[in-house]
Amino acid sequence: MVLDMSRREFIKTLAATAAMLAAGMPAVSARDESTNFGRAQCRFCGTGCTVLVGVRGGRVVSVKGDADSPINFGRLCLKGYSLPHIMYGGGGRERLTKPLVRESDGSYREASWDEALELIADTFARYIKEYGPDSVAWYGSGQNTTQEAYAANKLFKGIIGTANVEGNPRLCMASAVGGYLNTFGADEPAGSYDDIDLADTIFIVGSNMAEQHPMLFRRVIDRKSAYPGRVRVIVADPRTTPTARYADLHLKFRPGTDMYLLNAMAYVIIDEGMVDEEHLKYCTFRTGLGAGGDELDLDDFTEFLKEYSPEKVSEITGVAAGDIRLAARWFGRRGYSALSMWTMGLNQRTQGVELNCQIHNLHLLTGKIGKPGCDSLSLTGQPNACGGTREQGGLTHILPGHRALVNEKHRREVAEVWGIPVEQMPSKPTGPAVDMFMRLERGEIKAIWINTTNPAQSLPNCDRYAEAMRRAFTVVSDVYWNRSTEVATVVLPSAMWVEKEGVMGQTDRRSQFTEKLVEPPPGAMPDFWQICEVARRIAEKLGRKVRYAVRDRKDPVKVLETIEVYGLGFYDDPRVKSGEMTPEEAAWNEYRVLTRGRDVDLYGATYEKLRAHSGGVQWPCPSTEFENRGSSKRYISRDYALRVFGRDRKRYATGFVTLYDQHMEEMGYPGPINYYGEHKLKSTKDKAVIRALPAKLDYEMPDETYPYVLNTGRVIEHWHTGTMTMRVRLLRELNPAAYVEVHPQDAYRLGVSNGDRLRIESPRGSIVLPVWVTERAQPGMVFVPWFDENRLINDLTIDVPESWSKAAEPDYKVCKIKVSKA
Amino acid sequence: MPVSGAVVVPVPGREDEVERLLRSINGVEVMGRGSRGIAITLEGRTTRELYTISERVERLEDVVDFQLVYLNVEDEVEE
Repeated sequence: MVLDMSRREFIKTLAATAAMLAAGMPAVSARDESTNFGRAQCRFCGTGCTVLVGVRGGRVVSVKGDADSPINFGRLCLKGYSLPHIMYGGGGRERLTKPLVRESDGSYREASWDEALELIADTFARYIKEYGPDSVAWYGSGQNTTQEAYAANKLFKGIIGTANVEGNPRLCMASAVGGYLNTFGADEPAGSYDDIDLADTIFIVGSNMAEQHPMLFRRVIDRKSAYPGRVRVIVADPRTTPTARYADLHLKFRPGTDMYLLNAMAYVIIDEGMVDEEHLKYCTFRTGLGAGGDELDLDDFTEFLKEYSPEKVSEITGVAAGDIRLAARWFGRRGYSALSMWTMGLNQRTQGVELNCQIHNLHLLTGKIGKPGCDSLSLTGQPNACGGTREQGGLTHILPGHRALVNEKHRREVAEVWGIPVEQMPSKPTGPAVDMFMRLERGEIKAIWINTTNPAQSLPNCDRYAEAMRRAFTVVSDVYWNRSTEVATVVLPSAMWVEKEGVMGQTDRRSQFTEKLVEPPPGAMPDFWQICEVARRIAEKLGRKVRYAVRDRKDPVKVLETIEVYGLGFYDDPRVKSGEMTPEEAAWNEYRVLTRGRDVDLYGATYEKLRAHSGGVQWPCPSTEFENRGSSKRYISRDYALRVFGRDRKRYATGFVTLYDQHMEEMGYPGPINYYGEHKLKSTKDKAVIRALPAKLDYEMPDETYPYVLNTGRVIEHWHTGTMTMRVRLLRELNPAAYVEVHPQDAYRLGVSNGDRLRIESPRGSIVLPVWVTERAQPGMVFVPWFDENRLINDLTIDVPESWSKAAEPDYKVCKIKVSKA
Repeated sequence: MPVSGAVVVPVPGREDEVERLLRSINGVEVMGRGSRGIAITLEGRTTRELYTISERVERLEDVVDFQLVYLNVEDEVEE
């Protein structure tokens, strides 16, 4: 269709109006009566930008940043800009719209939904009866909505009774969880994005924010631009990324040596008198991770750090001692705030948990936490890894509401809400993500449902597990054909993004609602419906009923009636049947009950509030009061907030967040600061733990045979395995294929130049890629992005358990390779 | 043909020069100047062309920041 001039002029008026309002000009909002706008969260990264999506003729035709959003303030990044196109790959012809079943000759035939679902339920039920519940598994995603993840958790842990529930967040942020738990006894950060706007020192470690969290980096730039003399940006990264180029100080350390670097910064903080003695009242010191190790004091910790003076670690890290001292001074300077942010560069590492703890150490020592512009803020990579997985309990060892599977009281609480006998639930975790695929390979797991993720491309040593998927009974739900669908036994075509409704939770304890705005292509169905349908059929075959509680919508602890059903119950709710509310809302309300009174309290996050407030709600939010959007800060009292902020709340266009911790207030925890997490030791009650962690290298460092380091990651144009972004012509044209970044010194040594082909070999596989000679890399280290399904760099990455972090997250950042001109 | 709205933030004191340069770029129309920058619209035959124009704007001397805020692709999506 070609637009006629009047329509085109009108659209231009809309564009002009949006631009004028964003530029701070008076403008009368032009209304496009033929386009309906609805609010959604961006489908891509973990920032969670709020966007307004324009729908005309049943299709998404426009997108604009939501000016009311406290996250992106109306701005869009390159990927956000491409949102309308992700739904219509190949002009819409590439969307999956029919269930597919693999034939014995490897070809696929179309099947009806009923046939496909019956085949899945029948096979799963048969294996459960014959081999026990641990013969089946769920592998979900940080891109599932919370309702989808919750429904899957209830099906697998509640009805089937297996702890075989894992997801791709294990590959991206499990180490961050381990870091928060080891330090605070509770997962997720104390501060929020608002701290960026108040930070004086911004310490970015192992994160290319400028390309991977561009809207947050925009806030870094805004802060630096407004106070160029006061604000200092430090970037610690082995690559010279665009983020590093912007920094006032770039600590370009040798791959794998950052534990030395961070201990050295702690050394300088103590050595140069930047410790906040007052804040140490709320901290304790221990050696190692977990509940083992010994209790220390500041003197012991100082003694421990003596091995890590900047002068001593300079050689191993490759960073000048003066630069380390400068970084520590900027971080610790009195009267200035400091904010740290990091992502996969720390998490996807053998020492991932330790590295996270070391960042927390710096904040706890200097007291730069719980104050304006101060926080230890782990950025997430996916739009709902926090909400659907960390908070909802979407991994083998956890249950909804930050509960532990091994805790009998927690299991009873969940079983009560789920309406199942507690004995039906597993009491022990099975194994983390890669271990799950190893058990699939060994045939111990016989059937697996992979949903909204592409492990055949994203797992380390991925070819090995793709073959395991091909041999097992593998169900894959997705929107486009990809490396995982091609090894599936059954492929289910899913609805995507604004074709369905759901809640997602991001980095700073924030939950947002995405409206259903358009119908999915005929034949594609929402994942939530798929899970509920399979649950009903499996429950019937196993003869396991659920006592489903029909709950009050605003105050769901009030049970109106109880009904016995096969399945999860959400579609059986009388208000759902009558069309009064959606089944997704029924699931959300049940989940809210499981967060009530927990640190992750989302009881106050009613659908009404989530729909109304751009940027959503930040937990803890125990109150259902409409204006109350939760807590911007954790672990501090109202009095303390009044002291450090001069006020106790921040107002938005709609509603407010408190600058203190509403859970702490509700539970009556004594203040002014209280790290109330569920610590395992009495000695750490109400305290944060500063951990003495001897520096170690990654599991697989270069050696004589494999003298180079392979570092993998993302690029600005593409997201994860490129399933969506490679369908967008603009993004595909901008970055069509994987390449290898090689430092000029290495290029000279290897005799390669731009466009030449380089063979990369690890102990697990090899690949040939075109060369990009660039100082982004460093001598001895190459970088390869992993979005390209035709050049699978994860064939080379390491998967052995010894290489995982203490939270079982694989190491995608340091693996040994050899390289040669191809 | 896609249409976009954006805000261009010039170096303080260089607003006139940036605005003059913006007016010289094909496909860019300056809508006015506000407290947070210069409001512009961009038009191209494809999203790719729009992106190329965006890159030109972003690379102008004295441009501190370029913020996309709106995109309409209704004829492209319906192709």
